[in-house]
Amino acid sequence: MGQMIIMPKLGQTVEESTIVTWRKNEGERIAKGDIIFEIETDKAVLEVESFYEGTLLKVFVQAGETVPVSVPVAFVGTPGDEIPDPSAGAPKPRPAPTPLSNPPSSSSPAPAPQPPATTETASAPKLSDPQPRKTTDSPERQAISPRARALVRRMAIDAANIKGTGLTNRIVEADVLEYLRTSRYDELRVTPAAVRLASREGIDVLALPPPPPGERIRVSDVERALEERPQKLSRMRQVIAARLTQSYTTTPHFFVTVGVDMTDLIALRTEHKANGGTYTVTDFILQSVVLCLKDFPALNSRTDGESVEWSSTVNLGVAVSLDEGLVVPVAHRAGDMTMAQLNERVRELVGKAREGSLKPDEMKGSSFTVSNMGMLDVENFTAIINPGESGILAVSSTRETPAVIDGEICARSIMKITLSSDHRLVDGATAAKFANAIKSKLEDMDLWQTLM
Amino acid sequence: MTNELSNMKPDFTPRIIPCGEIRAFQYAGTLASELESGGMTTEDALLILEDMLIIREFEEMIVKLRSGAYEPLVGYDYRGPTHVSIGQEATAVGACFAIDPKDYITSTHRGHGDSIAKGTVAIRAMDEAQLRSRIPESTATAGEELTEEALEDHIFRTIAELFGKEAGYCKGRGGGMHIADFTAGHLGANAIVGGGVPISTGAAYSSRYLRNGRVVCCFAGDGAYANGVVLECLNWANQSQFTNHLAKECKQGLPMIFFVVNNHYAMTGRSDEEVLGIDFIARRGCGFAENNMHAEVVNGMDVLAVREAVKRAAVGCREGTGPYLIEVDTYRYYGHSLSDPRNEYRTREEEELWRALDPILSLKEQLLRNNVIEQAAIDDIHLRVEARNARAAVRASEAADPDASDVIKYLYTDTTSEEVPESARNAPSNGGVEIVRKEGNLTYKDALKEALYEEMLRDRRVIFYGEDVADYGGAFKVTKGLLEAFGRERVFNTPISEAAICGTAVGKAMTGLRPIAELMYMDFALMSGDTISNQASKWHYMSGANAELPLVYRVSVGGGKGYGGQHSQTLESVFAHIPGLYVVYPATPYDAKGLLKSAIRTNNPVMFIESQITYNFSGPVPEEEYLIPIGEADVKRAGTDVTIVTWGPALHDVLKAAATLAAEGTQAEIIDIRTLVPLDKETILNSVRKTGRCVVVSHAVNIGSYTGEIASTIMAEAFDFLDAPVLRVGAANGIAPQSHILEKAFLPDEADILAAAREVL
Repeated sequence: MGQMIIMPKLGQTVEESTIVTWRKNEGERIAKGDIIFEIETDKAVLEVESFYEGTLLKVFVQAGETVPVSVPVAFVGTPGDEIPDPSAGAPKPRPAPTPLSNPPSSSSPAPAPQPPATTETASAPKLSDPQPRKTTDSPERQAISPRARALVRRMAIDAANIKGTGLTNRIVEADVLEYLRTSRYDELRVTPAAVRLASREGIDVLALPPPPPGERIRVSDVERALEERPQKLSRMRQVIAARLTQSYTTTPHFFVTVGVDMTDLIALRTEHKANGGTYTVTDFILQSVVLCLKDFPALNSRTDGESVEWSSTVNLGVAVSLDEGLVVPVAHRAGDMTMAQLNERVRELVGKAREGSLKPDEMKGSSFTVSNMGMLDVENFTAIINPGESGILAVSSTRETPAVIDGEICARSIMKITLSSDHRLVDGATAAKFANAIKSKLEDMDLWQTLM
Repeated sequence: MTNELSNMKPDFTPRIIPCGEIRAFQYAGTLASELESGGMTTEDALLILEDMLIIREFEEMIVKLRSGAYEPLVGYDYRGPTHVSIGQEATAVGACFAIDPKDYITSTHRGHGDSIAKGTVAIRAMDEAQLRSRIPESTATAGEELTEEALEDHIFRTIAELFGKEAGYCKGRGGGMHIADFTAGHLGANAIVGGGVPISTGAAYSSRYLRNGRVVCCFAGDGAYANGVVLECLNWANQSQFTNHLAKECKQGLPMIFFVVNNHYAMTGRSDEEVLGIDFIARRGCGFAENNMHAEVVNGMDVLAVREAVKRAAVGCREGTGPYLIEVDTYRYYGHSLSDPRNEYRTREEEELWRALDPILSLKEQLLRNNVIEQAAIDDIHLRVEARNARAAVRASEAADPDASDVIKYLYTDTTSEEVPESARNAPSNGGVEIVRKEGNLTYKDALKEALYEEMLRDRRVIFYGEDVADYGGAFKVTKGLLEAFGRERVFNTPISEAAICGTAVGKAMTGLRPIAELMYMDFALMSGDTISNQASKWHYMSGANAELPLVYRVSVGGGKGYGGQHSQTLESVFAHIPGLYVVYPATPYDAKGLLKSAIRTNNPVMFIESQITYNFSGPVPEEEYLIPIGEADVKRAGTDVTIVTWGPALHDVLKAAATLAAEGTQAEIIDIRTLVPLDKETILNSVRKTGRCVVVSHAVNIGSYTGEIASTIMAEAFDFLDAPVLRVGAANGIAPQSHILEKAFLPDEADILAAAREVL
């Protein structure tokens, strides 16, 4: 009797995950608590521990494959155990989560934020699909005879451009020959080595830029094409792409910029640090935002264009830049925290983000986000609202700037902040007031004396 | 020469048919009387004792190996059968001492004793040259020393065969149940019960035909005498035509001894009171010959009685009064094999009664009683046997295993009868075979007849027989005139005994003849399932290439004539699935003649298939001699657009279809494989590489058809050249119907071929 290892559901709303690597190989002994494999959900890579002892007898889902949660991915037992059929008893694929655009029932409590439907690869085949996978003659796949395929490969061309006229529209040799004729393949001047390389790497020589007159396409030309060949986005980048595109194309953004005089705050913080304090400039900014959001419910809400949901607490998202992309860990209930608590929580979340060990729930449910590029030496920038929020604050670098105070020109440390707002919920005046409210807080040293 | 016409008159005179009497246990001799009368020498008596001891020691080794108790080989893992004959030693040794060393035996799955005794007797009679050829590396000078080394080598090679070693008699391919030593006249133990009987019967025919005086002693158990082919052979061996006026100058019965080793249990089935209806198997003789086959029953626990009876029979055989039937009453002390505890079907008390009559003990006792030898000398013999067997066993255990990469080595031989030995050349013929050549054309039938005639003229070893093939010339008149040309010794009718027709061919081929056996309909080949598939096809391999089987089965396919399910099958795929056979199926007169001549000349067994549809087809056949190599396909039509692979009568529909396609502008390339095994893959693959499309056509039902084998070969070896899936055209997956309308629907025709070709084009 062995045990099926299933794809764990490591977040309340995770529907599917990708196996990144197997840390154990088939045949290896596994102790309770050993890390068996790593999975990647929408935004994080997580380690999966074993609850069982035994030998990893069979891996059903290979690294790189994505399957719904609860689907068997491996079988642990004693050597000699019969390995069960993973498809038997596997849960049916779940229906795609209800997108936000479905009108919520008015009597129901505010639903937990759902990941946008676009992050689901709902159409991808699932292991538990009851239908056998078609390998031939499926409508999405152009059938091609082995002979034609061998010719296509030998010629280093792309069969996608060839029309099939064989039985069931299969591409046959004659179709390839016709294509070669009409595309004047014979006139193409290309070195045999370049053809071989292109053939091996699947580069279409007909798609390469024509060589200068009198010259031939060479291996170096194929190598260039290889470097330029589209690469698949990482899962994280695909999620970022989907979410930001959705936000930017469905949310009417507008932007309000104010300059904040940080001179006094920097002095205060320098002194604080000298005394062993841990607050960073960011902590002051985040605290200011939290305080202001309590006064501006429109910016702590979200809409689908038909209804509006207000969040009674502030769940503050903090954008963290990583080498491979961007994550937004969420300090839940930041509105109920002291500055010290918020500081501690954010520090913890940022650390986990950098390690890639955020749990899915720690990246969901934010009501407002702060994106700080202060350390990156930028004059000003705008940010795109995270789906499900009504605003995001873009914080730029603090610069020594000539300012006029009491009629005198003097150097002040000015930091520009730009608020992006969902115009469906937030009007220009509200946005301006909110931005200036943040500015006021940051410039109010009395306030910080009480909060620190 | 005119045919022998029957002149049988109705005769219903009331009478009693006498069945004669069968002698049982009449031998009254003793060692003393044998020595005194000169029936046996002292030396022989001691050798008989020694050989029985060798066998006993050998089989006890097997028993002990299984329980780890054989001291010379502690821990040796013997993997193989354990059908020991302990208790029956007198039958093996008594018979082998009674026949001449040049005589033949066939044996059974319980044949260690037969094999050992045949070898020891033969070796002791060998001259120095023969001995040296058995043990070329020996440094022994000559005489006894050389013989002793050859004897030890005999035991070594026997054990090595049991252990599956390359040095075994059959190079580890046969094992104990198929051990054979053709140089000693041992034509093989046989793991099919009764399987050796048709081989013996065929070998006896060779002796009769070649007049070489060799007797065949056919060891087979009581179980075998309920087996179909054995009963067929009892009849076969007693045919009147061997001894009456039809035999002309060769009125000789087959020199064969049906040596029935009745140990009373067919595995566990009791021959005495359970699975047979007679008390003595010797009674079988009454059913098959007017002389009861000289049948008698002999005490099989008394080696002297066995020897005496077989001696008499062997003399009779050489005088032309065979065959003989000798039933020896004996007992196996152990079970069928060591996994049989015996207690389900017999008592220990019964065993004790038989053990009390132990043939070795009783011979020892007589030797001592008659002061032939003292106890100490007997002990010396025993020790010598024990030591020799132990040395052989240790050597065998240390001998090299066969190379795993040689797993199918020895499946076929590449030898042919290129050179006919002097004695077999220039066969006499009365001529007069009518073959009609019109403007260089022959019918398919006459092409076959011309091939048979030419090959029988060329080589006297070629003989031909089958049902109704002699005076009548065969059901389809293919062989009309051959009897007249060559006489009844070389062309004869057989009883309707398909298993024996095919099985005796094996024995004939093993003993110097090149038989051609005809089966009137290929459907009947299923009656010969064992003799074709387990015997003819397997003996070259199972003997480690020590035997060659130059034989041809001519089988005729009746499909297309409305003869229904049992006369219409084209079963080439069935036999192509049996490794060891060549399978040939020509479609034109030219191919039929050239391939039949090659089939007769190859030293491999050949299934030569003919279609009755094509018998009257006419085509060019040159008068000058030609051969068509087996395993060479023929491109019957060159083309560029689609390859059509076919064989047999389907070729003619394929040719029509190709003509239709050509009119449409499509050039089909037609490949007639002509032989299914070996298959000329390259010709097929080269064509498919060119055309990229292929249809495989035959008259066989698609399910399990060889067309699938060809399609799969193309898929595996020319996949990247395919522009369309390989399609098959065959008969409907059903049974050939009698109705003309149904049979037309059943068999593939031009329209089916065209439809398939168009689908891939």
